[in-house]
Amino acid sequence: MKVTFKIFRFNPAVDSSPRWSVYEVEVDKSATILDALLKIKENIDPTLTLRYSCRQAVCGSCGMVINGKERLACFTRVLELNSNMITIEPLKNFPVIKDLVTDFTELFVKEKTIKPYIIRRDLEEMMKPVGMYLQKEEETLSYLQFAECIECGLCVSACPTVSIDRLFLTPMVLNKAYRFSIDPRDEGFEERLSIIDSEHGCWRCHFALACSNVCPKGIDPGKSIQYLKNMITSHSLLELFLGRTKKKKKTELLERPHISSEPEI
Amino acid sequence: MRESVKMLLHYITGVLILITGAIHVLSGHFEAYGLIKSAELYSINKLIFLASILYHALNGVRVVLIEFVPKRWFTDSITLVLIIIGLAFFIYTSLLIF
Amino acid sequence: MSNVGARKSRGRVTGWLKIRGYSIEKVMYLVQRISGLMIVGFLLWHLLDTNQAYLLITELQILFGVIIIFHALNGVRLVLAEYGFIVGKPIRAVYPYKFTTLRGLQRLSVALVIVVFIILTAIWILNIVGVIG
Ligand code: SF4
Ligand code: SF4
Ligand code: FES
Repeated sequence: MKVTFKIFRFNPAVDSSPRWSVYEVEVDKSATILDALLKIKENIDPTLTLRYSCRQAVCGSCGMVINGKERLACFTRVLELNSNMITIEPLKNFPVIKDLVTDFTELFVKEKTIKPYIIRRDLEEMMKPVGMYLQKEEETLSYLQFAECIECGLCVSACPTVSIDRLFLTPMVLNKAYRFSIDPRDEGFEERLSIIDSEHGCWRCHFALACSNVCPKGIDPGKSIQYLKNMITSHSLLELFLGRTKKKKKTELLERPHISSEPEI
Repeated sequence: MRESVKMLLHYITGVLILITGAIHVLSGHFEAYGLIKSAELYSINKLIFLASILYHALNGVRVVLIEFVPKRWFTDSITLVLIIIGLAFFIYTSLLIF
Repeated sequence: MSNVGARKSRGRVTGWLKIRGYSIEKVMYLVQRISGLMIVGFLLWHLLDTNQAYLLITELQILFGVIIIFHALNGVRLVLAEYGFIVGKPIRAVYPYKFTTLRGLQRLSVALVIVVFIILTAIWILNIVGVIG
């Protein structure tokens, strides 16, 4: 079947304004948008630039706006869109490097500020472990859905707040903040608080759910952000009125006496 | 004040507006049926209503503004400006009520 | 974060207004914000203009009643949603993906807001026009 592709072309180093290129490609039932784009690059126009790596919705590099909605090129079949004319643009809310490739630097700078890793306080225990922290199923379930993020940036492109407030932490980063804060092994919630509870933190999310509409991995950032707000509010209320904070429920330590702290040689 | 507390107040005042606003609108009916006659109660109700609505409105404006002007200096100073405006309005209108 | 926002990105402001392709919650977010700003304007007018001559204009009265009704109803829904009460529990993200925010209790609350909004609006307009009340 022949399908027409209308693709956004822009090279900031040379062009003063973007232009559109139109290509016709023969596709079969199984072809994804990424396949079609690569076909164009190989057979018609080698100057077309795009970014991809895994081809299976794992690496998160091929996000683009396809027919007006943010999708992964490798995770969208051409024929499932049910249209003869397919418009492809780079992600919104990101600077364009060239054609369909966008610059994620800002996003990753923001992500670093919320410390997206598990933080532990007891250095002693970390250096000389005496057992293991075996999570129960419900403990894992509290964060598992939100841990699946591939950092594709689709939610960032869709979010109405990001489109006007460029200091907003973005749904991807806030989802990450919740994923690590709710993790029963983590003790770093207070350290993240000054960033996620700031003027451009989680309270600038207004539950428009554009992020949940486009997430290709079923993360539902709209949900984790609201839970994050709940967590932050109860924390700051307790601190305000009782001057103390709730002890977080932690995973139980299963002692394993046979784990020796001295490495065996 | 933390952003979470500001937003919690935003929601609380939102609900308060609903309650006191209903009393404010229905007070005429109450008095007509001779249910509650105390003028002081209605004045207090009006004051709570006024304070809530000023907070809710100005905080809403603040939220819209800091999103549309995402500059650090603006984010830091807008709160103070709006507090002054809010207090001025509150004093002016409460003088009108009494 | 010194160079954050230093370079131009596509989709500023137009992305804020874009509705096609997303679900109804985004429309409600836009209406909530715009109605809020209109109410602020109305409030300033109400506080400064003590003659309240505008109350005589029926169309204005109807308009402000309608936006206040929407803002209040949707506001209650947003409070419940933003504290995580109606967005559903965390689930396993297995294909085909389910988004608990886009179904179940949350969607029900959206439908409820719309239905109650229509009923109250009808009562309000009929009341002003003088059919009832
Ligand atoms: S739910 Fe919040 S974070 Fe997600 S798109 Fe809407 S405003 Fe952005
Ligand atoms: S939350 Fe979803 S849409 Fe957002 S970056 Fe992660 S995988 Fe992509
Ligand atoms: S190529 Fe890796 S997610 Fe599409």
